[in-house]
Amino acid sequence: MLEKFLIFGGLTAFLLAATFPFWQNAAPEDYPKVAMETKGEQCVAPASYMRENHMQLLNEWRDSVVRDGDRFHIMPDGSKVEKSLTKTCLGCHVSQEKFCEECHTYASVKPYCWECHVTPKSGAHTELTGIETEKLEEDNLLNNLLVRNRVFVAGNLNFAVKQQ
Amino acid sequence: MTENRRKFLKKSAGVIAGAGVVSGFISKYATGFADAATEKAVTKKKIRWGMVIDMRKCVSGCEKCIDACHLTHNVPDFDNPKDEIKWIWKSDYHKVFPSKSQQFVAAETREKPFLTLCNHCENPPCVKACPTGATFKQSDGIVEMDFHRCIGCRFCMAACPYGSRSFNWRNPRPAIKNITPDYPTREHGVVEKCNFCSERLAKGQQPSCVEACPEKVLTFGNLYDKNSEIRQVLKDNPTIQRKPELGTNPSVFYIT
Repeated sequence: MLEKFLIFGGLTAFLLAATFPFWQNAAPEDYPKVAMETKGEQCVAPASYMRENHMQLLNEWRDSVVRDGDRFHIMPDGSKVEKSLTKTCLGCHVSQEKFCEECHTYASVKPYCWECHVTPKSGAHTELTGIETEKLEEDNLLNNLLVRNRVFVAGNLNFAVKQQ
Repeated sequence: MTENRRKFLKKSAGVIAGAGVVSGFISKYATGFADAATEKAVTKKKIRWGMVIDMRKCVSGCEKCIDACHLTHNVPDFDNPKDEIKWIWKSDYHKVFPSKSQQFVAAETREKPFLTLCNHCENPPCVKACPTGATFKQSDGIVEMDFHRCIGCRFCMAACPYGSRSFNWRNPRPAIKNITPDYPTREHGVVEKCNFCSERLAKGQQPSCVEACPEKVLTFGNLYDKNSEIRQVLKDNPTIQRKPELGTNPSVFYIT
């Protein structure tokens, strides 16, 4: 009788231990609570794209700004914003800790943007500093900017027209 | 089949003639591309930013340009000459112009601290030395750095004949008094230098040192534009460049 008890007890214990990962996963997951409030109406690209590809987009922005001097991004509605993580992204998404860090901590990703780029203080960016649609009229651009920017803007305008 | 010398020579002549025709076609198209490439290069080469430093007007004790630059670009101040980060700084005359041709210079000039910065050479040795392509020359003549790419090997520092590059031996963040959020700081282990304020030029502004100078010592402009102010200054005044014998063609000129 005692053997029976031992055998079945042991088996149950084993089964419980072996299936522990499944049990653990059955518990409701503690998803990150990403702050979704923004100051602007639209994002530089559709949210679904940004969710999956923001790192690629940031890399492209970095390379085009640093290497080619292409400093402006054409928004879906045709307006221009500066290609800037600190000014455009975090000028709109209010908090670095609650928007970036929350998810990165959950996914255990450690990007080193903030080793050099200055973290905007939470809520410090009261205005959309990167978004200067009114100021950057085409004439103004052509007068003030370098040839490299002119070429870029012309190319992008063509692109925007084609898109419509 | 026997292959005698006569037959072999005939065949080779045929092959060579054929190759000649083919290469003729190739070179025709290739020159077409090359022409397009040069045209592109010419249109791109409309700008070469340069600076004239009129040392006659520079006041010895004034460091407004340096302060403005350091504030704009988050340049750390370690208070230790070994760790010093230099973008624009003052140095002794004999260090700035070590060439023997500068003899019998007036004591007034000789004893003055001379303003120095990256020369943004037309033929920059630092760009050739950089193994990762972190330092590169822009189409507007600015020798620019991609801090993301710098691995801190310091080859560029060895290559630069003007000592215009500095290495971050320590984390620069704590050594910056007022952090300007618009410009990034650097990391420990990264080289940095003057970038001719390319981020300000893109907005149509003058470099911050030029803007900050109350005596109008610095003239900044496009060296390729014959009607620019800088070309006028260069035309009206005898100027010298640093270490011209090296053939780097600095874009910074001095009136002494």
